[in-house]
Amino acid sequence: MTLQVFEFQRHNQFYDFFLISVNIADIVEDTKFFSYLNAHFKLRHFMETYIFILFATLAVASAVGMIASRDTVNSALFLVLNLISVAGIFLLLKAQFLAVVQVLVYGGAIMVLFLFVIMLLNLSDEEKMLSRFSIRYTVAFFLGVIVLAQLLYAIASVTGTLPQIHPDMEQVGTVESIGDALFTVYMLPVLVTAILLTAAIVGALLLAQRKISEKGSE
Amino acid sequence: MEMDWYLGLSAVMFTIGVIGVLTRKNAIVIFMCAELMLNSVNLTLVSFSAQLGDVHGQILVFFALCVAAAEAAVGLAIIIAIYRNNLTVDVTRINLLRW
Repeated sequence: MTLQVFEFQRHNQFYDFFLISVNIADIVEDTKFFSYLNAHFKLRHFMETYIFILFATLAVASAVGMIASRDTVNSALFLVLNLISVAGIFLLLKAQFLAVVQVLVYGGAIMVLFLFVIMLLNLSDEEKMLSRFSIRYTVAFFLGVIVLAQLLYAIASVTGTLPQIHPDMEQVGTVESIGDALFTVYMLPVLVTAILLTAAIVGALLLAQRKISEKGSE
Repeated sequence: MEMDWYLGLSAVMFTIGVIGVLTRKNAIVIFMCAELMLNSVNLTLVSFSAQLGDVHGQILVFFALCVAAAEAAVGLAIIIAIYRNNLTVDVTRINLLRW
């Protein structure tokens, strides 16, 4: 049986064509320029590092800008920039679906909601944010240092044991595989999420109503 | 690319969120800092998921996104209700329950 299949493959003209195309691809891959790049620069690793540095710098800078800017609208726009650069880092981690969802849901829907509320409230700028040396900033600074030290200590204790990006990751992060998991194993949580979102809409409408029951209170 | 850098980035972002929550007085900015912290935790989950080649971390991030959307809707409605009563969103002036 296996021999028959093998014979079929041997005498099939498409199989010959397949062999020829594989040879051509080998030759193209083996040309001097690409092998030089592969050997001396390790192009893929190189690009990954520099793109990571770009997005990480953008993310940290926009986060600092968010907590430092006095205008609330500027804070919201810095947060959008931060979310988009985190979406870029998701792409580096080969989580394509989550990168798209991050831009659509977080950067699109949630931040538009924030901007609408900021516009609706018509806030003035916070007056004199860093005017004087207050106990608030010292406490916040020390708590921040403690939190960062704890987190970095926890990360440093596993440094070296962490593996690289898993080779199967290009199939794991796709819409297909996430949808497969969501609509089979996680069917019940998806339905509960629908109830949660409905409850959130009803709660938001109830809370943002102008007068809840003026007649009932009298 | 080592995984430690992704985890370190998420730690730094989380810390910036904590400092923002502790220092700012505007309730909306505090809320946005909470979103920033949620986002950095999502980054940690995705990077561990990428190490293990496992889809479950990304599923958890998906549900965290849903919860963040619900939280944003309800929280902003609460902020609007507070503004309607107090005409401010400065958390130092919202002291009705303080003794």
